[in-house]
Amino acid sequence: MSRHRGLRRVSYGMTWITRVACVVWMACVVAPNSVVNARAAPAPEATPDISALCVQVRPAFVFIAGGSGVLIRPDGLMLTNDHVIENRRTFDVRLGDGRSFKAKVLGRDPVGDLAALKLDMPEGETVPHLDLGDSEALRVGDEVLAVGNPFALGVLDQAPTFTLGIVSAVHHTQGTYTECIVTDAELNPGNSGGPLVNMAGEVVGINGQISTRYGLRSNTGLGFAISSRQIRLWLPLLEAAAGGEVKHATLAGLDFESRDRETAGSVVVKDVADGSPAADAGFLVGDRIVALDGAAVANGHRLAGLLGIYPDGQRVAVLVRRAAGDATLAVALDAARRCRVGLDLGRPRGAELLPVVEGVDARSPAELAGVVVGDVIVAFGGRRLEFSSRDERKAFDRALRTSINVGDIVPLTVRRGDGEVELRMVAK
Amino acid sequence: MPELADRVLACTVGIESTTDGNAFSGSGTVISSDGHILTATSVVPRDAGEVTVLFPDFIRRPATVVAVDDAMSTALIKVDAGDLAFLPLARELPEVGDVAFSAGDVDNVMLANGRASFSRGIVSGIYAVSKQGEAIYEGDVIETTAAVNPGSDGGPLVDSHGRLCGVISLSVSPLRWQGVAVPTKVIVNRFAPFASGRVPAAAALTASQVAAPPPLIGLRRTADTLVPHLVGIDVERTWKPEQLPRISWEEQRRTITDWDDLAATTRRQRFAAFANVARAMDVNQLLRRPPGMVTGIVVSPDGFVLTSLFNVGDDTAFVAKTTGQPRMFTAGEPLEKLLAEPDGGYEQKPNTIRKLTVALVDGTRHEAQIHARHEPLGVALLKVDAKALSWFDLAAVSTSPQLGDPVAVLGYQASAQARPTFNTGIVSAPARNRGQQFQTDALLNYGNSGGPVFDAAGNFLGVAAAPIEPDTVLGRIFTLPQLMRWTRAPNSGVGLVARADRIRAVLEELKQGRSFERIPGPFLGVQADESRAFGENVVVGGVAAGSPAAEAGLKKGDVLLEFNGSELRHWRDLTERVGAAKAGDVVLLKVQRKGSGPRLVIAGRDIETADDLEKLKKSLKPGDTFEGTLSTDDARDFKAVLREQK
Repeated sequence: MSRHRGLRRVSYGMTWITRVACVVWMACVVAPNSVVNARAAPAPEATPDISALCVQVRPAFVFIAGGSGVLIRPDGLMLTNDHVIENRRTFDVRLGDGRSFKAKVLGRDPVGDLAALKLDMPEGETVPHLDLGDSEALRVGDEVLAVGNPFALGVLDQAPTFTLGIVSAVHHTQGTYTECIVTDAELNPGNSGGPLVNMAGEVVGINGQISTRYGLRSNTGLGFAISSRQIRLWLPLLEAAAGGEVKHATLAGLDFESRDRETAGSVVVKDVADGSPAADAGFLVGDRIVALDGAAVANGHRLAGLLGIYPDGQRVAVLVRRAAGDATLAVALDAARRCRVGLDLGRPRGAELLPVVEGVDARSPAELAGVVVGDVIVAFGGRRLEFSSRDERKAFDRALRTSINVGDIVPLTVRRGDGEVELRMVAK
Repeated sequence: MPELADRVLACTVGIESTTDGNAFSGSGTVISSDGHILTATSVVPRDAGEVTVLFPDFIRRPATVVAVDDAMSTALIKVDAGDLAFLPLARELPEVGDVAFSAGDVDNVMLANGRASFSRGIVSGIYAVSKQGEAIYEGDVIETTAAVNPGSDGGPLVDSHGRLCGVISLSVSPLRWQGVAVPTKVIVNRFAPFASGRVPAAAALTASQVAAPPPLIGLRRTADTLVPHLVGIDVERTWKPEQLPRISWEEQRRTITDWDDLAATTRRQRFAAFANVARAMDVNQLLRRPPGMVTGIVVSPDGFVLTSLFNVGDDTAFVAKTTGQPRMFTAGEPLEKLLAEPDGGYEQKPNTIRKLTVALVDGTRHEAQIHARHEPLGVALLKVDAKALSWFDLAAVSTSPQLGDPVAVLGYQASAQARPTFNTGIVSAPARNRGQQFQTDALLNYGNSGGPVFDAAGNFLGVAAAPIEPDTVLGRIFTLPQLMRWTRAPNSGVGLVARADRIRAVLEELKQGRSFERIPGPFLGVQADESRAFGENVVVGGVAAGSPAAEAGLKKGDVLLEFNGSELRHWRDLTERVGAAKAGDVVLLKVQRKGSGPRLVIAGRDIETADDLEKLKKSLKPGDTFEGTLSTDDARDFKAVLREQK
C-alpha cells in the first residue's frame, strides 16, 4: 500500500477539464428536484429513471472544440466554459440530436470561466434546450447527472457521455470558481462546459474543473461546477457583450479578513478606505456583515466567495449589524480593476517550486507591503503555497497577474533568511 | 439521501494537528455525545501536540489525544463538549455491494460552508492487506467507490444503516487504486480505549437502514450468478514490476538545481538524448501493470477463459544497454553520468509474458495459453487444460446495453475468503468503437479489467476491456506527455467494455484460434478530419495508401457529399454505410474538391495532371473516340471498390 499522509494537500492538483464537450439546455418541466424522501426510512428511495433522463437531456448537449456545451434556450443560446472557447470567436458545433451549426461567441467571463454563444440558425427555427434550474435548491446528497465528451470519445460517433453522482457540497470556493457545486459525478478532460443536470432535467451547473491525483488528468470523485445562480446573474450581460468580456464586480475599499477561521456568523469590517465605494455605501469600521443578498455570511471566506459571483454593475443588499441596530446597505458593486502588484517572480525551481522575488516595482503594492528581493513567498491570500508541478506554479503566477483587483487586501508570508515574515498587501 | 447527508455531515469534523515542525490535516468522526472523535494516525500522529477540531458551522475546539494505535492507523481524540451529534459505530463488517457514503474536509470545503464534502458509493471490496510501504496496518480493509481524496483521511465511511463502519485511509491497494477504510469492527475489538470499555463502543442501533435502491439489489443478484465463473489470472512477465525502475524523470530533473537557469537551447542540447528516453520511462512506469491477479470469466466447460486484451497485452521495459537488464535509479543519482551515453544508455525491450496462470473459483491453478485475440473488442481468449468447469454460456446473451441503465463489474480477489470486488455505475454510452464496445462510469482499474459487466435484470453485458487506452481514443497518435496524462487512467469513470453480443458473434471463431486485428468487413480507407468533425460536412483527413479510396483518387481535404446517392452529413453516416456494404461492392461517392478551378473531363475522367493523361492514354485503344468537356463543377464522382482490409 502506498501511503499519502494527511500532511499535505499538494498530492493533488487542480486541472481544467478542457477536453469536455458542452451541454445544451432542453425544455423540461420544472419540478422539485428532491428525489428522495428518506424520512420514512427504510422505505426504498424513489429511483429516478436515469435512462429516460439521459434520452431527454441528450439533444440539448453540444459538442464544441475540445469540450462540451449545453443549449439553454430554443433560440440557440448556449453555454460553455470560457477555457473551452479560448480566444476563438466562431465554432462549428454539433448538437446531441446530430445537427450541425455555426456558433458565435456572445460574451465571455474569463474569471468565472463562463461563455455564452448563439447558434447561427434561420429565424423561427428552434433547437432542443434544457431549462436553467435553481442551484440554491440543491441539497447535499441530491442526485445529479453530468453530460460531456470526456477524452473526446464522442467526437466521431456523436454520442456524449453520461455520468451519475450526487451533490457533495455547495457554496465551495475552488480557485476562481466561487459558490460552486462539488459533485462526485465523474468528470474528466473533455467534460468542460457540459451541464450538471438535476433529476428534473434542469441545468443546475456548468462543469469546469476537477481535482486530480497521481499525475493523472482524470477523475477522483471531486468535480466543480459553476452554479446556475451565478449563470443567471451573468446571462443578460454576456448576451449583450457583443463578443467581448464582462468584468467581475468587487466591493472596493472594504477590508475584512477573508481567510478568518476563528470567527463565525459574521464578518467584521476592519477598514473602509476614504472616498471608496464601500464608504459611499455606508460601511463603517466595526460593522458586522451578516448577510449578502439574503445569503448568510458565515465568515470572510464565504463573503469573498459570494462577492466572486457578481458581474460589474450589480447592486446587492448587505445586512450589517452595528451598535445602533441592523442596517441594510444598498451597494452598487464596481467593475473589478486588475491590480499590478509589482512583483517579479523567478522561474519555478527547486523541489518546492516556490516563487522567489527577483524584483519589486517602486511604489507598487508589493513594495509598500514590504516585500524585498530575495524573499520566498510561502503563503499568499491566507493559504500556504504548495506546488506539485510546474503547471501549478504557473497557474499561481497567472492568478497573481489576473485575479488581484484594486481594493483587495492580501496577506502574504515570505521566508526571509531563517525566519518567516507576515506582510499585508493593499492592492491600489 | 439529503437527510442522511445532513446526519453524517453533522458528525464529520476537520482536524488539524502539529508535531515538532510538521502540520497535519484531515477529517474525523464524532462517535460520542461527550466529544470522542475517531480519526487516522496520518491526521493525528503519535507525537501530535496541538490538535484543533473544526466542527460544522465554523465552531473550533481544541482536542486532547486519548489514544493512538499505529498498528491500526487509528487515533482517538476528545474535545470538551456535551450533547454533540455523533455516529453510532458498526460492530460488524458491511457486505460487498452495500451502499456506502464517505465524508471529509477535502479541499478546505468546510471553510466556505461549514460542512464537509459528502459522496455516495458502495462497498466495492473487502479484503486483507499486508504491511507495505509506510502503512503498517495489517488486516481487512473496506474498499469503496465513494470519493476518497487527500483530506478525507480519518473521515467516516458510513454503512447502509447510517453507522460509522470504517475510518478512511488514503492507502490504496496497488491493483485497485480505490479508497479504503479501516473497519470499525477491527477498531472496536483491538483498539485499547474500546477494548478496555473506557469509551462506549457502539450505541444501540439507532439509525435506520438506508434501503438499497432496486437496481443495486438486482445487480447483486446478477453478480451471484456470475461469481462461480470468475477466475483470477496471474500474468508473469520477463521482468516483474518491482524489478523495473521507479524514479520518475520529473523527479530526477528536479534534482538538477540549475535546470531552470539554463537557456532553453542549452537544455535541449544537454538533455536531448536522455529526455525522450526519460519521458518514455515515465510513461512506461505509469502504464506498468501493478503486481497482482487480474480477472477473467470461464466461457466453456473445457477451459476457454475470456479476459481483457489489456491484461495480456504487450508491455515494455527499459533496460540498460550494457547489461540487458532493467536498472534501478537511485534518488539523486547524477543524470550527467547517464547523459554521457547515447539515449541515456537505455533501450526499450519488450517485457514478454513468460507464464499465465489461471486460478479457478475452487482454488485450483492451471497454466494457460493465449488462444486468440480480438483487438477491436479488446478481449483475449485464454485456454486452460481443464474439464467440466463452471462456465458462463455466452449463447444466452440476448441483450444489448441501454443508455443510463445501472451496471456493475466484478473483479477477482485472491484471498479465499474475500468476495470479488463489485463496482457499480451506469451505461454512459451504449456504443463506442463502431459498436464493438460500450462505455460505463463504473470504476474500471487494473484489478477488475477482464471482469464481467452485467445489468440488474440478470443480463451479462460484456467484459471490462480497460480503462481508456491510447488506441481507443480515436486512434490518435499521442505525444508522450499526452500519453502520460490521458491513457489508462484507472477509475476515471470512463471505462470501455467489450460488448457481449459482439463477443458472442465471434466466439466460435476465437475458439478455433482465429485472431482479429480489426473489425471484419468492407474497408474504404479514408480517415476523418477530426478538427472539422463538428461541421456540416464529412471532411477527409487522410487516405490510407493502397486503399480503395486511394485507388479511386480521393484526397485529403475532399468533402464527401453522397454515398451511393444518399447524403452524408456526419462521419457516422459514412461508417454506417460502409459497414452495411459488402466487400467487392462498387460504391459511388460524390465528392466536393474545392479550389482546383476548371478541369478537363475526358471520357469521364478528370484530367488534371500529366499522370492523369498517361492513365487515360493507357485506357484507350488506337482508334477510340471520346468526348471531352471543360468542367467548372466542384462536385465530382468517384468510384471505389470496397474490399476486406489487409
